[in-house]
Amino acid sequence: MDQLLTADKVSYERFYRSVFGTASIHLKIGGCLLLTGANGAGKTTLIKLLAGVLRPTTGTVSCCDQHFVGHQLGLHQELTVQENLHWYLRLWGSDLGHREASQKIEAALARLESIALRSQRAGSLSAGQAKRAALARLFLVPRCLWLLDEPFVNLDQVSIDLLLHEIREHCAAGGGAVIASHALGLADLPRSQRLKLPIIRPKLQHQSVA
Amino acid sequence: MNKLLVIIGHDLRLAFRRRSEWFQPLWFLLLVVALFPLGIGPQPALLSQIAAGVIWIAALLSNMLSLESLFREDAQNGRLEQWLLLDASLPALAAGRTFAHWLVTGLPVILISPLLAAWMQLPQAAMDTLILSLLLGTPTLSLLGSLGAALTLGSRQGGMLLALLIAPLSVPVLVFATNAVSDAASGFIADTQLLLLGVILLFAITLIPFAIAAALRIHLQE
Repeated sequence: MDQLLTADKVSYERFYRSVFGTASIHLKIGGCLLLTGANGAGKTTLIKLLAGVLRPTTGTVSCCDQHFVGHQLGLHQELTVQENLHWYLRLWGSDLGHREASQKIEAALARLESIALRSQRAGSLSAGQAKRAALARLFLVPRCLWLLDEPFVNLDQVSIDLLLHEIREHCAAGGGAVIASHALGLADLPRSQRLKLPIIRPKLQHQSVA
Repeated sequence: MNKLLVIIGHDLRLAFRRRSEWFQPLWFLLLVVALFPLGIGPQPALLSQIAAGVIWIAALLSNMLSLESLFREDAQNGRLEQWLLLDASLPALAAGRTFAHWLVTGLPVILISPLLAAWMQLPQAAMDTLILSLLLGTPTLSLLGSLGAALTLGSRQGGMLLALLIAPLSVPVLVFATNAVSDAASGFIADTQLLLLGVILLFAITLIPFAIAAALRIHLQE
């Protein structure tokens, strides 16, 4: 199976109003899809549909196991970054001992040069630091598909470059990524496709990428 | 099963870290029960008559106090979304969280209930029944309250709405439990009511987690 993600004529209605019409997405191994569109075009909704947080009104989504990092970062404010990541590690079924787990967490944080954040409480982090801490989940457990909603917002240039590098590496290694972003051009990610969601007027539209 | 233990352990650790959160409802319970003898005056006979009702109503109210934030924090910080994405059943996770909540709010009530009973002049003979009724009844209250917390996630005035939703549903537990304790106080055997409380608890354990999961799903669909 060389498809990482297949979304077939997916649509989502909120209060009986279609959010982005219908969309079909086929993502092959090594593929990267860039979701763009104006504010309110439905990028977040579409990416949540792909992740399985939302259930589509029509259409089907099937994908391999994925990491989803959304607007809400999934960090508990009162726990340290280390404790937050450890929680994920254990929920994802790892039965590592304490030392191995913290080595793994350290390695994951190191990918975005965030080891210094390890023992800080998530609530005390700046927006960019919190984003980096949340993105460290991607490296905690390898999964083939990354679904990232505005991953570059609040990041400094160094972190953006690091993350772009990691995404390229991930895709080159046979993974895939769907990224909703304003800030990114196609030039930043080679071999990526773009799906631009238009603002929906009442008439339905259909978008598709192969 | 493993994930269930992770959730329970994590919640317990968090609860231990912020002791005020579970200490306050307990303090509230102690205060309410302590106010009754002061308000009614030195009338042991009257106190012992209303003891079961007072202790149980106070337990019910203090249970509601602590429930509002059960899922709210995780809904706001996005961890609830991540629950959905685990390959674990959402009802089981919700049940785990509720159980952890009961351990830090329901169990202490049972532990201090002998003290409350002494304040309210409850006859010694009814002590076992009081503890048993709390043991069988408070988990049901926690489950109902957890359902209420999940249903009111979307509303800003969640606490009040939660109380309005849950209080009527708690009536059967309250009726059977107080009836059991006052029967035992008058020297009767209260097995029937206790069995009924057990039946209600079994129903609650098997059905309510699914309702909680459905309510959480609905909230995340918004």
